[in-house]
Amino acid sequence: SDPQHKYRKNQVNGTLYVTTCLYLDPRRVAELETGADELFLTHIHKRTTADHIMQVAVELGPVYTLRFKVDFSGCSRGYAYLQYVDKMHKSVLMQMLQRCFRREKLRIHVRESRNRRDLLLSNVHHLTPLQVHQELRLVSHYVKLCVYEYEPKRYIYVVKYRNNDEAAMAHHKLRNKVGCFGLDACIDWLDKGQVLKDLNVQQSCCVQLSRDSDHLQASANSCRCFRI
Amino acid sequence: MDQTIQSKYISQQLLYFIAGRRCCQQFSCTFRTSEHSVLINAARALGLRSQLVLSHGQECVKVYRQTCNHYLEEPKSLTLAPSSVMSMFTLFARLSVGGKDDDCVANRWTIQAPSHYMSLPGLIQLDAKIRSSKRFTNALNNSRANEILDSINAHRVTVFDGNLSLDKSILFPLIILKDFNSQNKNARIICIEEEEIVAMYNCERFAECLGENIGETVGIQLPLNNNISSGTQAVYTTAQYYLRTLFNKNSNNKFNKISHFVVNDVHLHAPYTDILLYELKQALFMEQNLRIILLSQAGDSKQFVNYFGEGSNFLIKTSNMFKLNISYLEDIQQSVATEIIDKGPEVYKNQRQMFRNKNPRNIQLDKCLQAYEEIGTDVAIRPLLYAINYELVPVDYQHSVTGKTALYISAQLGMVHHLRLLLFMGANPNIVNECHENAITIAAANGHNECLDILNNFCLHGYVAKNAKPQFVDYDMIVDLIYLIYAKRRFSPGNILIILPTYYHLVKLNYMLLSNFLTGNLQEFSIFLLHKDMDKEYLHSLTKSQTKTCKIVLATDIVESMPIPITFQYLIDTACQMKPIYDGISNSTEERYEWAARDSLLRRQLLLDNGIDKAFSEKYCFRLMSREIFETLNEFSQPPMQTMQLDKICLTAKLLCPTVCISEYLAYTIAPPPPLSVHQTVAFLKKIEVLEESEAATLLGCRLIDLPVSCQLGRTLVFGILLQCLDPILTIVSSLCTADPLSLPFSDDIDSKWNKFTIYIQNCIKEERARLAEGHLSDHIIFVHLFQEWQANFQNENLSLCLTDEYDFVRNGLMEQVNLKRIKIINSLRASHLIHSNGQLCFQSINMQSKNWPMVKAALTGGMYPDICAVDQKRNTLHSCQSANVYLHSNSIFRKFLEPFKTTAHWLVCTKQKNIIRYATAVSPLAVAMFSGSENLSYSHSAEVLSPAKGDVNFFIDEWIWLIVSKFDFDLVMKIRQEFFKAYQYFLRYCCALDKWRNASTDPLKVLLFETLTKILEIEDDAAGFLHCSSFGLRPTFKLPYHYLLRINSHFTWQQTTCDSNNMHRMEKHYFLFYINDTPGSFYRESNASYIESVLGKFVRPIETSTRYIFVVLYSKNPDVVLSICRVQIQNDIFVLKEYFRNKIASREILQACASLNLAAPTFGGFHALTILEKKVGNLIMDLFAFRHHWIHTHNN
Amino acid sequence: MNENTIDAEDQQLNYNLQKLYSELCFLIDDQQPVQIAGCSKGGAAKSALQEFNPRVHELAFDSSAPQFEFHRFGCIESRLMGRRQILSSNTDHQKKLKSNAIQYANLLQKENISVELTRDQMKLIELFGNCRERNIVLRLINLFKALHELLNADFPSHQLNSVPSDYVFELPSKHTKPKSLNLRHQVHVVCTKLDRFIGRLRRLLESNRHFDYTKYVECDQLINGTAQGLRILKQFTNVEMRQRNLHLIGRLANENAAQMEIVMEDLQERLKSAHIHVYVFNWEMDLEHRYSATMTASLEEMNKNALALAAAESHADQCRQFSIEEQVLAEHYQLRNVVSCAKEHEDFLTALLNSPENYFPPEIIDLCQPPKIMNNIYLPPLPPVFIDELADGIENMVFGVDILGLAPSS
Repeated sequence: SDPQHKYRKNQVNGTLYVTTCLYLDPRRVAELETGADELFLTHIHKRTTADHIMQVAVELGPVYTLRFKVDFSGCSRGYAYLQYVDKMHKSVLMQMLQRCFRREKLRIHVRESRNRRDLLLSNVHHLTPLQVHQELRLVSHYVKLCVYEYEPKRYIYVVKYRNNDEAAMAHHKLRNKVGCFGLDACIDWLDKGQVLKDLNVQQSCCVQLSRDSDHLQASANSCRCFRI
Repeated sequence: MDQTIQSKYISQQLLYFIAGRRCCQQFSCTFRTSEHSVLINAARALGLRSQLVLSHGQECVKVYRQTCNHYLEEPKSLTLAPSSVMSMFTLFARLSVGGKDDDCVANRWTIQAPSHYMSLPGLIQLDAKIRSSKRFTNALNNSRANEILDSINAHRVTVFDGNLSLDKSILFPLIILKDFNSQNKNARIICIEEEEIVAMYNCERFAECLGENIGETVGIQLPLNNNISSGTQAVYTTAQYYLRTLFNKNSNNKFNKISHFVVNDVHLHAPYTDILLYELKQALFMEQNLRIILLSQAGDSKQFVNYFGEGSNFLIKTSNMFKLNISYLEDIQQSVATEIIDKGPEVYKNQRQMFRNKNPRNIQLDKCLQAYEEIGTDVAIRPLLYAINYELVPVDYQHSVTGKTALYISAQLGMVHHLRLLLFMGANPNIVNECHENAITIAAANGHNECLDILNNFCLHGYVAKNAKPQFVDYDMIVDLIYLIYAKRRFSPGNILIILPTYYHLVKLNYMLLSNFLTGNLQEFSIFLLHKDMDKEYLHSLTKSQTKTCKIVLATDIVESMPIPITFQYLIDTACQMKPIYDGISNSTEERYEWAARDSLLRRQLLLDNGIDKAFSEKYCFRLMSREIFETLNEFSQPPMQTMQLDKICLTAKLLCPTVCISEYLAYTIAPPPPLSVHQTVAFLKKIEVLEESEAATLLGCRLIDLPVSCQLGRTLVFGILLQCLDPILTIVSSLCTADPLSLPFSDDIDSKWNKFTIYIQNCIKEERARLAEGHLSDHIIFVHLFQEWQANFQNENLSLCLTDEYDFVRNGLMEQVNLKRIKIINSLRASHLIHSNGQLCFQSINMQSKNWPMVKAALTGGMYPDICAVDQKRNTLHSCQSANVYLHSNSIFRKFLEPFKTTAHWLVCTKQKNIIRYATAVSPLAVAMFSGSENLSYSHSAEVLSPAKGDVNFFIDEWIWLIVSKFDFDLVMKIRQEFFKAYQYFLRYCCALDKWRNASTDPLKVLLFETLTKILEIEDDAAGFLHCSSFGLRPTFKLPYHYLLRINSHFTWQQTTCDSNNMHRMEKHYFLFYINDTPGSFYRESNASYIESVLGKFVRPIETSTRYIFVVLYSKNPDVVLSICRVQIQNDIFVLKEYFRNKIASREILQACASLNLAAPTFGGFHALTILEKKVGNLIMDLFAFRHHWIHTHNN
Repeated sequence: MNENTIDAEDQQLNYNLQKLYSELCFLIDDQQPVQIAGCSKGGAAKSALQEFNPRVHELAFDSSAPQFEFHRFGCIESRLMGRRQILSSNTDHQKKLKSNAIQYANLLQKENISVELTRDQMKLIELFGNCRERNIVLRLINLFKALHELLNADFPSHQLNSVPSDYVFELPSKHTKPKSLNLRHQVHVVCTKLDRFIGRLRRLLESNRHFDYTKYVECDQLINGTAQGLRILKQFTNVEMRQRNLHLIGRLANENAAQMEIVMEDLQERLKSAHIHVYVFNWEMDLEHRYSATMTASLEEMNKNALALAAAESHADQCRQFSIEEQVLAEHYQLRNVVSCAKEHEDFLTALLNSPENYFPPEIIDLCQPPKIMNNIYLPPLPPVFIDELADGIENMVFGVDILGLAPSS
């Protein structure tokens, strides 16, 4: 069970990915890809390597992916994300993992990942929502763009990404290209501290417009919002 | 014995000094105090000046000749204002209460640059499937590939020579990978490119050709872009970055994971590549199985084999399937002359010589000419020579009334040596005066035979002095050539590649081509740019472009190492290159233009052969140089390391090999730099404390290595961060790395249409600079204001993609670069943890003082040290430590044209080019006392010698900057200085420890220190009499639109497939005139399709065909101006307006122009109805928009 | 990108999309806004989407495309979002106001302190105005530095004179002070070096003993004095002098340090005296006994020249005023400014006029000669207009100059 054959390592900029080479049920993969059952490892010592963490982590089952954040010298930046292939009871898993780390004299804390994957784009004055959509698509892929007209002709944009990783990469790119959205535009994580619960409820007010049929269901409801 | 010393020895030493070449000399500290006075007296007796100075804390005597400017006649004084004393007192009162101890004197010998590493895993088995693409199997037949493989396997070092179309940097890794995979082995190939953009491009293409994503078999590793996985077998990187990963590595395992090294473009002798070659040469001793593959193009490949002492070289020939026609300047001139080219603005052809007598500069110059004519002596011509050499006056300046040039007068007077000198300086003997006489005729008429002989000889050589200068890029000639190719149908249409020396030239030519194309003078084409600092998007727009129109690619010499999948039929090569030349004495870099060497020209010519097309074709290469010059060119270009600034190179060498002396290390490279420059650079780096006295790198050096700017500018950034004013510093630093849109042009820099207006244009630019300086004594502030103004343009309106005039376009292009540079610097600062994303070092908190100009000046003082000058107010001269004779460029706002230098400031921080100061900023004495000099300045740098008042003391900051200051003030300054540098060292030491800076609630004493600093600098700035700066700086922002040029070029590509290129010459233009109430911006924004339809439909629909261009000219009344020209097209039955030009041209100007060309004047009625314009008038208005000169027209309204 | 480049299928798709969009816009930009409770202004009346431009149909809504969701003004979601936005921006604003207020208050408080400071007050903050380093450890380190400096320093020599002053040529120093802050270690190092240095001085002296005995004795005494000082200093290699963070630990260490400071200052003076005496003695003996006749002659020649040069220079300095001709130019032609500018660069301009050959490449010079080959049509490159002192190349300065003969004893 040499982990080197089962997992492939991949480094993109400041993230070291250790990903399984196993073939998995596509449904489970889809689930995992959206960040399901993600654990957040923090307080990782500078000298601790991804290999070291993997050695401990695989004891509890096959790992789907480990996203280990490193700096230029390849040292840990203190945190990492971990996902297991199998669905396990979360709190038990966390306790067990924590215990394993402690046994190995690693003072790593195991938390549940908040899986933040929404970015907030605001103060865009010169572009229409569709233009924003267009510009954003040039930058990177995302799942959904929500536009909120909080004042007449003033919009807030929430960009939803598939998972935290994609959101982080997009954040990085957007930070450099935010100029495309005008001078005042700023990009940030949605709700840096708390989770805004109101926004996570299913958008009941929206009319779903079909994508492929060329006649639109225009039976609008009271507030005339729409989705496409 | 004492007698001997005092009378004999000392006087003999002084005599030696006089006989020698030095302008000043310091006598060693081993003299005793009693000998000092003897020395001073003896020197005075010999007419020398002398001064007691402190050097390394030791008192010595310095002796100066009268002409030496290293000497501060009297010390500058530093007196603190009572209120600054007060604030400092408050600070120290609190400091001594909270007095906790420092750790600044901790061990300093464990300094290491943070390691970067390449995450290459050990060799493992992986069944990578290599699907090779057709293209590569085609490029070389298999036998050749086997031959190559054999060669690689047989030798540890192989040099392959072959042209760009072979795409060697992909081909070779591919061959090796295939071979290794067939043997079921794993390869680890490192592919080295010179530029990041090339590495990125090649990596992408390699991955594409394997049908994979980057990060699988092919990886990339660059400072801000890396993607490598455990299966990666080939990694693309740059030499610079690869060397960076070698820092702190043990010499035995530097290369142990690598099987092959493919180094591309070794013939360029790029500095980091050369250093890497040395490292590789060393590695061969350690690693027996390392294979080194060097790829070169038309270079001297033997020298590499010789350098490594083993290996073989291998030449790959390609079959040339085309016929190449090379033409030189004379051929081109001839073909242009035989064709009648009626491009361009008729209206400007016979511009009256207006504005000539208007300004004092013309009056002065006229008087100079007059005086010379009447007196005619050496003394009389001297003011003229001065004006030409130092004040950018054209040598062919003509007297406003008589039209005589200096050359004419010298011929008239028969002053042979004046005549010769003027000819050497580039004077044109064929300029005629008001009486239609030129220098030759007058010499003949006056019987000055010797003059006549010289002039005749000169003319026999054929006079094209401008074109003989490499720095002169003949844009007009390039446009003419494109006319010949596209409009005149002499040649079949095809893609054109134009190679220019710098980015600035690309931008300028881009405007000229666009304006000629938009006026409809030239056939449709799309323009692409390639240069080394471009964003990836620029490259992608070219490689992925699907336009069927002809492409014109404007490129710098980077195109020599970038295989582009586009077939070019024409190459226009300006054959010149910009070479930065470092001058160690003044520690400055000069940008010199030179003809490219012959090997480089051959490589460029081979770009026409891209190996793709199999059909026989005819291709053309135009070299904008005379054949004769080509004959005399050097065979090979000089390696850049031999002329460039070596600061980063030296630092890299030191960090690579801390135990070896830098000069020794560099001497082992393949084309070693001259030892003298290395020595001077090392001395300079020691002075700015990037290196220690013992040549070890300091903390500062370790931090600066990752910044993409020179060490001095990097240090400026560090001061900017510490003094919390990074944003303006960032703008200044980025601007200093880019061409200046407001530099005064020479006569040759101005298009031939306008170069009679040189003086006027120079005056306008000078006024513009003064406006931007807003009364501050600073050239650097101009950069900040210019950038802010440009940025403010986007505040109200979205980027408007239309042309205004050339200056506007060039400024946008250059500001785009400045902006990109800013982003690049910020990213690298982030990456090296000099700024953080939150906490005390986040972008917001290091910009708290960005609006505070005194702070910015302080940061400049600290960063630019030792480039500081003192003003001698009595003689109005400048003193500096580096050159005996420095003077200000006429660009600077400290100078007025043709007037002696005069200022109230005492200290200038400056940016120099040799001994010419290009940009300067006046700073307060406190800023100099606080931030210049060594970070470890201590009490031993004061001396109570020769001080006039008893309470005063001399404060020696370095070997020449010294101030006289009262003892108490000295104590205060010294103490706050030490506190500041404590914070400075703490920052440099711990900036990587993020947790130390995370919390905003910081040490209150430190906050107080910086508050006090802010306050006293403001107070002292006021006290020095500088303008109070209230409105300096907008809030910091680094999010600005970029890709301006990309967007504008693609915006104007209509891609009309319907427009058959054969019909091109039958294109018809139609013009309409339309009145609008408001600004064109709001017109275009608010008029929707139906409105346009209702206005235009009736007129346009009937006449719209594919061979007609329809333009609408917008004007408004009150004021009477014509505002904009747009082109109308019907796309899918909807009218589309595309704005071409926007400007403000007074209607009266158009009426005048019509009158002068005998055209019927249009009527600007002011009705909301379309009026048809006569075609000729339309063309004229179009030309007025397209060929406006910003400085002449905007400033003459 | 453009419809022309896309084939028929794409065009169909495009057409469909356009239709979709037109309907979409209709949906958003309905002329009659639906009145919603709480939405009095009817912000939906003119949505920004109506401005959307023709480029929008480049947006392809294929199946993998991201979703787009629009909440118009008045919608519950938008209200929630808007409130959130306002809340967050308000808090920032208040914070800023507050901190500004605090700063201002602090400022006022500071202004209230009386502006006049007395010396006693200054002493409170440990400033004595005597410009002396207060930390004894640093003082001692400075003294060590000074001693090393003395060991490094050379007396002026004529070789140095042949190098221009602005030529950065500091040779790497032979004796660098160790970085350690361990005082005993420093003493040890400096003593070893001084030992050797004194030995060298001694040897130099002995080689001149037979020339002049009185001078020899004088120097001998000075060397002995220095050696004596060194012996005292050496004793400090074994005494208590520990320090931490630049502060000496204990009374004993402080006393020792103070004593050592005196010893070192004394030694410094002795060393200087001994050094210069021995050096000059040797130099004088060189001149008197070791120089050959030609060397003496050339030295005398040089001295004569130097004196003449000095005279000429001081004379030249005095006539930096305008000549009569320049006066005329300045006054009659009102060219005072230009003339004085030219005067500043007089040396260069005069040289340029007198010998342009030094400033232009030979190809340019040849231009005024008849052409050698008749079909030589084009000129070689001209120099830039800023002509600089080409003739003064560094190589010239270093190697092509009057390097005088070395002294026989060196």
